[in-house]
Amino acid sequence: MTELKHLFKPGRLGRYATRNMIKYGACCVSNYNTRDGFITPRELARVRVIAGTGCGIITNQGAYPDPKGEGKSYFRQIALFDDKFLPQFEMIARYIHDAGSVAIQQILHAGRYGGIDLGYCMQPSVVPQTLPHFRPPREMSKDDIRRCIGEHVDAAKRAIKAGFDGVEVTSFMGYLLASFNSRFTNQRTDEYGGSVENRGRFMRELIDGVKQALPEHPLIVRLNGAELMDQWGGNTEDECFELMEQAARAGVDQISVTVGWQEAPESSIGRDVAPGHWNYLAIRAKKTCPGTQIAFGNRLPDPDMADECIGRGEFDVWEVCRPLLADPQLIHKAAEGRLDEVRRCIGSLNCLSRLFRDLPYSCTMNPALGHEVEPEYAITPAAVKKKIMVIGAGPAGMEYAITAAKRGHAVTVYEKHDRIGGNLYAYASRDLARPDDLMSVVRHYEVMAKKLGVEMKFNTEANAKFMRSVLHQYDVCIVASGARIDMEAYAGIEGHERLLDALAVAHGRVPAGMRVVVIGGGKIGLVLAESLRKSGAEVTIVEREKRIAGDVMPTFKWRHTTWVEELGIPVHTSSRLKRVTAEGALIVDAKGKETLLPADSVIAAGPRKANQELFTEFEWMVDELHGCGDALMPRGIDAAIHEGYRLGVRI
Amino acid sequence: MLAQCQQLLDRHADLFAEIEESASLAIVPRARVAALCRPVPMIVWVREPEGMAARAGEFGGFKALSSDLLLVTNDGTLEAALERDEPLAEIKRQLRAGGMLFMVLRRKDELREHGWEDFLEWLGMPFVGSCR
Repeated sequence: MTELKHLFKPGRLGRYATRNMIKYGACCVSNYNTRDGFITPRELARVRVIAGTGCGIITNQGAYPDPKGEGKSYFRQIALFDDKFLPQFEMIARYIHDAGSVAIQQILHAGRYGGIDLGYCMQPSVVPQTLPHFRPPREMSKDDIRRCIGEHVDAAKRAIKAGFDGVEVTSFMGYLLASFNSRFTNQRTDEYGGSVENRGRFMRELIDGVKQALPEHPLIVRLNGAELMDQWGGNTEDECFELMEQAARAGVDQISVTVGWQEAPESSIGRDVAPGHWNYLAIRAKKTCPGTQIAFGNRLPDPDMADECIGRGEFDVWEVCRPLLADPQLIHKAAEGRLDEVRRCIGSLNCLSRLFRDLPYSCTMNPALGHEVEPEYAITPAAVKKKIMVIGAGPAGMEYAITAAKRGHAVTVYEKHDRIGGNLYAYASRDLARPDDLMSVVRHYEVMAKKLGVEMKFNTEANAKFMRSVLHQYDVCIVASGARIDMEAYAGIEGHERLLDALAVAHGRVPAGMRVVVIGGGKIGLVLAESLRKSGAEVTIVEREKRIAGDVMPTFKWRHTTWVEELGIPVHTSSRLKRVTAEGALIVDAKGKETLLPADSVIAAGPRKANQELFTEFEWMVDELHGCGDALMPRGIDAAIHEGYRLGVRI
Repeated sequence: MLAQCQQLLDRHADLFAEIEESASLAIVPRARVAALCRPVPMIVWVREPEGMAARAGEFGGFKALSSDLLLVTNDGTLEAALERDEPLAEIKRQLRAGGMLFMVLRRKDELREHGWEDFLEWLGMPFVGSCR
């Protein structure tokens, strides 16, 4: 059935046969475990789902190898410095083997980003941090280096003892191995510093130590093809590939090519990076290390693209993580020719936003992630099949609708406009980063509604009169009517009738002029302002708070502030609208200074107000009345999808 | 350059309003930055009783530096930024472009205690990184 013949051909990793050329990469830590490094039932349940993804190779998330926790980079990272941790590792290895995959355990000593519970971190040299999140550095002595290599070897032996087939040492993101390799952080003058050969010594000794201890078991290293730190004195790409060559010569079985450090000034995996952007690094790795298996997957989320790359010989193994968090069935759907059903990773980086706040990771697109251990989150057949009406075809309503339909309910969605997507559609179509990512959510709902037989009734406004016309036809009504711009909040402002509604402009229902003032520097105001500016309008943003982007996901704040700067959009913070006239918007700042901003269109992009009126109107007209998403409280796509799902699995 | 720095600090006094007295940020050209070195001239933005002041100082390596933050500048980038209409915005842009580099010499909680949170947030420092 599949046409992805390169992805699904059998392969090998060392002495182990793999059923395909797909590797689940341990790209980040879940933070689901105990503070002292033990694997929890929550983690085991998640890994069981990952084991079932169908990947030929599955890497378990990185464990720190030292008892002090110098290598520990996340609050709830797992540990592998003692046999006391082994029972759960044994279970994970068994899950992976039972699913027919090769089991790899990653060892993650975070080095520069480690010591999360300590007051310091370990580095080859004392080079201060560039991000406030991390700990002040201490220089490793030669004894520290020997001890550290020994701890890596012991952790590797422990992983094999637990039943894993091989191990992976990660030098991704500026972790310990990377900081020895890099000129930026390795300023030593002994045999571990200076030349590329010397800087690579720690890595070679580490590889040698593990290989000598475990000659029969595959060893993988994750190495930067680009650090993105070269402007600050880090390695050039040429140096990165010299180091890769050293690793290959030292006898590693697979090199996983990665991109970027945590503190690099540019993004490597966000939505603004086009899929395939970094492929050139994998191609170069393949040429540099022809005898070593090359795995790659940075910003390469689509199986069809990966299949073509493998077919062209650009790399050997597609390494994928976040797309499998978004949809653990991705590989099976690809194999069965059902790629249109895939819930794509939209690169919102919600997962990493939460990790950098020391929270367990979650996924915008997969509300069940991290809740696999809770039966309440599973989609099970409904005990009583009901007739359900959903008001609103935005993400909350559609997520609810497809979840309820999967459970056997008969679902009808009423939408006042002529398409699926709600305000997400307008947001996605004006997104500067990569509209296709957000639009994939809309397409997913279109496909699934059709496949699951969800009845869609467009151009139908739900109100009391309409409800009377369908009285007693439905058992349940779900209000997922979203939120609107609260135009009433401007009622006391002179000239308020001249204000345009940002959502109406964003949807293209109301045209904006060429000189625009946007009131509100939150995500709606920013996306609209950026897109209008991009289309050639002169745009100014006015924001009440001290800073813009207050309601934007932490990982995306800087993109908006950068776009605003790059597009030359003036921003007036700590300012509010006082009057709207034919000439423009009169604003007043915190010190009382008034400024007239000339404009032909003044657009209100906030505050938002939940469309809650239907709750009152329908209260005595239907058996069960529930709500989800922005109709409860205006937030965003993440809350909309998660609440839609949670309600869907319950009703 | 001290006078231009002072203008910048005065213009953005709100951003530095919470900074504790004697807390400081050092600015050193990249060519002179080392863990330890013979003293070389540097600029210091330091909180004094009347507000933030730009002063001349000596840099003897970041191991010996008492400042909370160190701004490392490539040749000519600070001078060019200070010539701009919005010097602080240009510094922020240079941090993204790799023309300048921030080094953090205190823990996050210490920086917060010393009042740097607004300034660092304005620069977008908590949100920098290739994972973002």
